[in-house]
Amino acid sequence: MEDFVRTQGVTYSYTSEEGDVNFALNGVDITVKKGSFAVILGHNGSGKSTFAKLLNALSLPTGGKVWIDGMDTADAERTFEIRGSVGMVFQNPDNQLVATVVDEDVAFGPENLGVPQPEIVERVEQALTAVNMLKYKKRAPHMLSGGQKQRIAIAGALAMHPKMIVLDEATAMLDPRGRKKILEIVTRLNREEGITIVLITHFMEEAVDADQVIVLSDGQVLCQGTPHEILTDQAMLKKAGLLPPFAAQMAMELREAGIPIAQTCITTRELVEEICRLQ
Amino acid sequence: MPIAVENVSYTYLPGTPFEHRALKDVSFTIADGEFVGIIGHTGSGKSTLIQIISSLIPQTAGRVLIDGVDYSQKDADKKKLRRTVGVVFQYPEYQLFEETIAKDIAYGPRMTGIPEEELENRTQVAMELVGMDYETYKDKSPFELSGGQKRKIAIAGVLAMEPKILIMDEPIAGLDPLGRESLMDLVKNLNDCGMTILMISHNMDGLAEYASRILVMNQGELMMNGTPREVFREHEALRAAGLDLPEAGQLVEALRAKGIAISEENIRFDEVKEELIRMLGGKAHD
Repeated sequence: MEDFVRTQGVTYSYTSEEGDVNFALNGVDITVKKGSFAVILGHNGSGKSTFAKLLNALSLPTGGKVWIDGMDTADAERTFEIRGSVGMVFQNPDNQLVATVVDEDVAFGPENLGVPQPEIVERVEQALTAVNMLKYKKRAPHMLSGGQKQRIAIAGALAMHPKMIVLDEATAMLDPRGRKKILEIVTRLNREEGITIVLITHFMEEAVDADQVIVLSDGQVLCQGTPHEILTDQAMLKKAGLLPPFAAQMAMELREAGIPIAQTCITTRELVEEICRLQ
Repeated sequence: MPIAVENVSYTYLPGTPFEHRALKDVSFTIADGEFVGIIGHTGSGKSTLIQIISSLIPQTAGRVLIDGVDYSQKDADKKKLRRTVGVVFQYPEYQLFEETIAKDIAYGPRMTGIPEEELENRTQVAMELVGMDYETYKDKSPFELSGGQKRKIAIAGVLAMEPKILIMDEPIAGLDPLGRESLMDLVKNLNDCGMTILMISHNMDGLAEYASRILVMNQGELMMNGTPREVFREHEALRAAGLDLPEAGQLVEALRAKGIAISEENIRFDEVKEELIRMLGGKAHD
């Protein structure tokens, strides 16, 4: 499969008032396949959000290269095309909802792309349907819950017909139900519409169904692999300032107590199967 | 400083098309030194409730007594209330503004007229409580810190007021796993020192671990009021209120659905682990 994202030796540095050079990213090499679901995990301040902004040329790396669908993000002539193909959803939906009515907000992106009016109406309907918010299309965004607002923000990105959506801690402010809903929607967009997903989070359980998990720590890729490889590697997670998800932690501690539970459990479902097998 | 909430109701935008009864006849009491968790779906009235308890908005009906005093009365000593009840809002680090960490923490007490010589002492104690070394950090800018550290400084600013009651609205939102753990430990320590804690949270596991009591809000009503064990065994009622069980409780429920006889009383990680070890014949730790 083709790479949709490729970064090579990416650094992002800034100079503090005292003149010290700080590296938010330091030599990041990542590839994300077209149509895949990648999760980036990392502690607060690991460089996750800085990385997210490089993926649609909101920022440019201070060293190294970022290619999106084969286009170099530093090539100013491709900026428009890159932004059109990579939708972003940030942590706080209040910072990215712009209109006073839901459907106008979702239409904002395609309007700026110059999409003809009848097609905009169609795209807005489709996008709101995809996030299960069509019946709210004439509501005011500020009257919605956080999770609903975040679904509107995703619809806004979808209406641009992106090839990839980057979610930068988009579930951090939501309650558990709101979080689950967003994850369901994103997973469906990935599987059914083939949209490449980069989900940045520090909820470990959001990584269990990913195709690829990347762990960032202090601006570098500490480890990457499948959810099973990453989420059961306690030593590595600890080094990254993270903790395994509940089921993986439980499986590990049961093993330590001498119970022969497979080390590969990362979900409650898998753990239940293992316990049933041992009964 | 016990808290008594008596028949409190609150209506947003009364007499408009958006009229909404956010709280309906809510009553409960909290004794000194308790650690009370408040859980509820988005829009269940949790935040309105703590705003009323801390006298930031006036209730539409009913009353709140803190140590027997109704601070919604015009002649009440609001300054005393602000010293007694500390409130940590969601994302409190957005409120940091001073040049140095020490100045930011001292701001509240300074404004209430605490003498300069005592301010330094209070700042130092507050920083110790949140686990930030005074000498290392006092002269740094709060904006140079990581997200989790900034939040601790914001909390230290509230602690410098030496409150008897600490009210927190989802203090772990946006923190990474270790940040969440360390903040829950901090709150536990404050509680062990005798501070009454009232915490809104979606973190069922943290509350199962630390809270002495849990209030469940649903559509503006107080739906349940009991120990974590009493509350978290009501699976159906919690689901109906849009809430989930702690992870340990979810595992127990899934095992029971497969016919494995594990007790529903287990709601904490260690409890479930110990019972599984007994059942599966491993070596339990003491």
